[in-house]
Amino acid sequence: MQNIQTLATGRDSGAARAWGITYEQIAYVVLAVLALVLTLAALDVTPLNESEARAALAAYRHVYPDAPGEALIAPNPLLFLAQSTAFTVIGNGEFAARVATAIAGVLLVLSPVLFRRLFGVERSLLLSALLLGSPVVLISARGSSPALWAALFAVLTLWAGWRWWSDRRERDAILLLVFLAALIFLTEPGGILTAIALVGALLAALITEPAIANDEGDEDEAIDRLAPLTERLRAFPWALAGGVAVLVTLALATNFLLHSEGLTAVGDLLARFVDGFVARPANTPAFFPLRISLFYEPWFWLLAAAYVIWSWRRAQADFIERFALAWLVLGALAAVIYNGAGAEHALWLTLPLVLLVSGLAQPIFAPYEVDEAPGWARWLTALAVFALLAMASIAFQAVARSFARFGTLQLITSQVDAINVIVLLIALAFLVVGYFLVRSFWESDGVPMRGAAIGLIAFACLTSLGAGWRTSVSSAGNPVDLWQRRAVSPNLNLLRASLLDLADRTTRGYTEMQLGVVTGGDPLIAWQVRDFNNALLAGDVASLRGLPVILVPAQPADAPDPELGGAYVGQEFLVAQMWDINLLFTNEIPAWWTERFANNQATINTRYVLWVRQDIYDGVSAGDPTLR
Amino acid sequence: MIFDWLAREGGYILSWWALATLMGAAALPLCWRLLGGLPDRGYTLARAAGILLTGYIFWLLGSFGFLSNTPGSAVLAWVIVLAISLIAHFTRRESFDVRAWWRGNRAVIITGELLFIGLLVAWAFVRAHLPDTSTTEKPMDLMYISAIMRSQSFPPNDAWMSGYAISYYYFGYFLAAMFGKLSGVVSTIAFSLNIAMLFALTALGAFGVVTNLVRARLTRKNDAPAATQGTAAALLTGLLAAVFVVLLGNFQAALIEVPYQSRTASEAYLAFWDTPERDEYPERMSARADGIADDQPITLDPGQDMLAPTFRAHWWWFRASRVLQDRDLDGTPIGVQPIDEFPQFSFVLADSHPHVMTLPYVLLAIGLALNILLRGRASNRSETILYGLAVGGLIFLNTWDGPIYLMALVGAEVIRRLIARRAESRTLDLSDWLALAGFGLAVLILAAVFYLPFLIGFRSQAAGLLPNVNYPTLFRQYFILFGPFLLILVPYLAVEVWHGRGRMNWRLGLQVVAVLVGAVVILGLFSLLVTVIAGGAGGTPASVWVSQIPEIIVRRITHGLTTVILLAGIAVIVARLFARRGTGAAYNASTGFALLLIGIGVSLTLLPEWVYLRDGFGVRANTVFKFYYQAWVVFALASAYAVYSLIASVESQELVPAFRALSGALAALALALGLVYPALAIYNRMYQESGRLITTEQSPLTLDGGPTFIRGDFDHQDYNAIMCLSALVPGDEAVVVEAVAGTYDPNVGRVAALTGIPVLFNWPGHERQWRGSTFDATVGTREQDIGTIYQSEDWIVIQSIIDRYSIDYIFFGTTERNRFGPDAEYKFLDRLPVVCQSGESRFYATGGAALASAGE
Repeated sequence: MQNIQTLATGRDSGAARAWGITYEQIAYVVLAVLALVLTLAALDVTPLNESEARAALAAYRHVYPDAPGEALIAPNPLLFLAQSTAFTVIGNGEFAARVATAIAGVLLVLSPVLFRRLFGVERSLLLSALLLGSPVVLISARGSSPALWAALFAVLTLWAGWRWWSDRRERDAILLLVFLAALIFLTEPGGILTAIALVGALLAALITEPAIANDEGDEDEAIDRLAPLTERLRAFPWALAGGVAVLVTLALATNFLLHSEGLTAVGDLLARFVDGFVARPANTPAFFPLRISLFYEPWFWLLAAAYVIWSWRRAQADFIERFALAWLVLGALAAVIYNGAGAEHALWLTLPLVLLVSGLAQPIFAPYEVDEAPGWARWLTALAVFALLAMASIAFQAVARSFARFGTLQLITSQVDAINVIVLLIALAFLVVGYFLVRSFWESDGVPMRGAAIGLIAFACLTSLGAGWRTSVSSAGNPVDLWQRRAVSPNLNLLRASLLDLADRTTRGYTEMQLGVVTGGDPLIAWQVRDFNNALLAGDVASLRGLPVILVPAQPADAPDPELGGAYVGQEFLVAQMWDINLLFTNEIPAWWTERFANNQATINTRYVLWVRQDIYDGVSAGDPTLR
Repeated sequence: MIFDWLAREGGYILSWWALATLMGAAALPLCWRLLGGLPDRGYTLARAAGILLTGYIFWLLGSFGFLSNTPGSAVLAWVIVLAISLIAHFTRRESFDVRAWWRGNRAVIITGELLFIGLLVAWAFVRAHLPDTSTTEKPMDLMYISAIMRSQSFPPNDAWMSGYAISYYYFGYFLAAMFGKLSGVVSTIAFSLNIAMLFALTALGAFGVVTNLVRARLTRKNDAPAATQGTAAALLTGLLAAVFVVLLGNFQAALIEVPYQSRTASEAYLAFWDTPERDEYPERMSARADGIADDQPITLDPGQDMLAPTFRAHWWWFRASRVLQDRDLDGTPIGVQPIDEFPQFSFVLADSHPHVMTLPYVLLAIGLALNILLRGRASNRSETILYGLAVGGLIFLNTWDGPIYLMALVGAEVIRRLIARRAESRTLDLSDWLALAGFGLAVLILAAVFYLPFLIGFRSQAAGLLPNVNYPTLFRQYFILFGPFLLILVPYLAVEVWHGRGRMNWRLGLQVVAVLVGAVVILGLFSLLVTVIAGGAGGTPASVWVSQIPEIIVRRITHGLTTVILLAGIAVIVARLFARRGTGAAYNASTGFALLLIGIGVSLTLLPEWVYLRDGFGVRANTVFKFYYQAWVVFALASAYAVYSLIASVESQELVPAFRALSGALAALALALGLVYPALAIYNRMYQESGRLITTEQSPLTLDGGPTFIRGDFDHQDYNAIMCLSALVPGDEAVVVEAVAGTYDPNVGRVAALTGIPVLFNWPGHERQWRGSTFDATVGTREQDIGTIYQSEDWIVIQSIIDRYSIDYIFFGTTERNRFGPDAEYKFLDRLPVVCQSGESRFYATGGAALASAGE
């Protein structure tokens, strides 16, 4: 505990107190703007995925009781509150469904500023930058993932906990329990595991506190390392903080008592938490979050490993490092044992990873201890490293593509793109040679290592960011992407446009068209017809015969068209695709990793057919609605 | 076969065990704090407490609209109970060493756990042989469980009266449905598992109460030479209590049924017992029909081997619940005879009625009463709240039990105060009585407040007390019913009189008896006066009543033995409890509690001798049923303790050896004769009635009672179509029409029973019972309208009915075809889409309301 206490009480002398703009403030503004742009841009371009649609429908039907379909239990109370508010204030589209979580993502990126006093300026900034560059954070934020809310509240819990630990103020104790309760009861089932991981990491960090040698030089073996925690817990204002936490949880879960049955969602969340240990979502491989983390954020693992090794070799593992490492281990354990985890639960690993990587801020930005190299040397080196990595990366992608084109590994050695292999090797060789060059040029060990670290971090952030953007925007419908267990097709936008066009024909633009839908329990379709108040959602097509517009799942190619009770014209739409990872060949792995490419595409496609009654299709009003 | 069954359905049993255990674990810290008087700190009662509290929180928050009826809501309720429990534990002032508690109670804990899981699996195994859900009133029970599982909010729907909530004490069904939803099983499996769990939970409760009772005595009096030996005695006595409560039968099987079936008894022997349908042989009835006089000898058919595979005497085991025979003054048996069920009968029958579902919580209440006594101080606020929750829970579970066990709690407080006075005095002064009244009132008010959402809408069938003028219980029939306990308790009371000797307060005992007799005489005269003034009662002119007075008096005298014996019992108990001054304690707390239990049992069986509750039956049938049932429980617990006192305690060594031996022999005899019933009845149900002994192709064991509906008119096509509808309709927002008939008919009301989807109306007799005076206004013309739907050819009329009741589906199955003819279906076939069909059984959707029910 010594380290954290020292850090907690040590004020950052560099913090600007005078009026004016500091570089730090500018940096945060830039980070905030970047985060806002990245999370909000083109937010409504991709259709909602399955879990997004389910959550959005629950909120939508609460806000608009006339919407077709039964009221749904909100999968995530906090998201429900945010989406209900957004639907009330800014409309009912994909943007409104996602904007709150996107802003929560921005807040998560900026949240390290809360720990500025603990971490220092550089580390906090680096932490924010890493979070900005994290593809897991970006995809989760843009995909209205409740796991992101859990991550945000985990950070807030840590913040309140740290402040209470250091200052012992009642206000912080209340905030601590409020945030913890929100994390457990209001975010998502995985929030409970996050809370357990935090508590476990805290205990682990306390227990692994190095013994302090006494005057005789002997380590005091009888020391109770949990004593500080026990002592603080005894002084904790349980009744007050607990009472406030219960009230706040109750208020948030019930939309400030406007949605009294909201507590059901809390219960449902707890039940799903239990279910998650035994039931794995469809088409989800084992240890999914761990796979996602390694797949999307390998650089973070690399850098974190480097930092941990460096830190432990120098015996500098302070409380924060021990806590972050324990958190990472527990997060990985949760990712392994918890079957209910999705891709976004890679956040369990991302947060401790970036916390560890941010530890590099101290060695990177600290002044040289013995060297006399100029300050800009590390930056120049970093630029060179970045350029070399970019060159290697481009070449690697080309090589990977080449590998993937061939069906077997036997062919690749002879037919691979030789130029790119050479470029790749040259770039890698320059990285090695460059180290010695820089080292000898400035006669410094610090410059090449620091430059390499900065270059690598910048490269990691940029490439990761690209991967995140691709998954969440430009290739969101790509079923081969590991993140997408059921990739939603952009064709859903076409389906929606067609429905609106039909509404234009039949009801002059109002979504009052008579529409029959066989949803089959698929929220993707239910979301697309959410505002068609006269839509009938049925279990079978027999009940919908004769309606002007009918939307039904596509039949197999050899099956006859459904009996709709009249002449209809149909248009098929691809709704979603699933891909089996077992179809991936070994030689495709590099291209799959770099470009989300595989020769075997989706195996299970969900298609719907929009049937339009002939008279509507011809642009003539039906006249007699009973016509069958 | 067994392993195949366990492989298929063992997971269900495991999940119910886990759920009950988790709920018990949540309540355990609370029990540690509030049940500190009990040696095990409430461990053996924690499961019942946890289930009750979780169910209560779930129901309460649901009733206020905070929770919907989902498994998650139940989980949240569990988390709330856990949180309250942990807060209660960690905010306690005195220290509590969990390790020391474990060391001191591990034998009890391990035995209790083995008992619970063992009996749960065992009774599930019994049930799997014959998972019947379609006989007697099981369709009603199943309907409630299905309806609650399907209801999206509370109060849950009455699925036989669409648009209305259940008008019954339904908490037991609610708890069963909660387990069903949490474990993810269908209602027809939940039905079977519920019976098995009640069996195990009741046994655990009985074990816990009596183990605590004996251990409290050992702890306080250092009764045992070694702690281990004392624990062993306590455990064995607890297990004996579990056997007495859930397994033992009355003497009907041993003393009447076996001689009757084997034709080994004389006709005079059967006539002596005078029990319904067993007072003479069927051969005698045939002979009488043939004109042979009753005094002429007849030839009896050869007796039957009750263990033979072909033994098919239909439901012989049912007769054990119909031992009393009330006769009019002219000797004619009355139409509705008293019901005298006991727990083992209930479990064999396997109707999930409130009086069965309340058993674990009755034992919880008795445990709480013991806690009051053993605490040694007045109950604090938290404890009183728990008592209020328990008593209110009993009202919600089986209304009759609320007042009974409220009196038990107050009675325990009386004895605590008496014991607290030590040797000085064994009477209570005014301040004590005021405090007792305050305590009772506080518990009652809390119970009312806690369960207000139920009480507001509940209409009890009971409407006051009526005098029982001329239907006293013959003592020989009383002996058949309670013989197992009389054989133990009479010697026990004799020993207590001997222990009390010079300190027996006979004066007070006789005063109490005199007051009771006086009250009865005054009540009788008052009723007679009212009857005369009113000009008669029950269609009988007042003059007839007056002329019958001599006959009534004669009957009361000739049939008065039961009353005399019960009054004597009361005198002994009062004289012993309110002992005269002397040196030292007159009795220990455990003995005082056992005497209280006996006193409650005696009072409960004495009351129907003179009064009964005015209800839908118009006679004392239901009063006897409800009171005798509870008397069985308290007698059983007291008897187990009495066995310990008579033959195993240190004090028992002071007894004359011959008397001790005689007591032991009587106890063994009671046990042996009482176990004849379960041995034969369980065997009969499992193997003979299920036909497993005579069929070569045995159906697999299963807990799913749904397919047992496939009998009579109801065929597998109906069943399949109903299952299809159940899958099609996701919530409870639908109304179905099916044919209506009277009660006890599984061929109607089956859509609601199997699915929980409300039907427009069914089982009119039961609806009338539940809704009492509001029935006619509630039901309106539903029955006629249903007939019109099926029989009319005027679609406009039919459509108007459909619209009036918002009917979504019309069922045309085998019953409808038999009742209304196949032609009645054509109008539906022509106009309405079929949404579910199996063979000739079809569900028709009536319009848009049905369409909006599906999909996300």
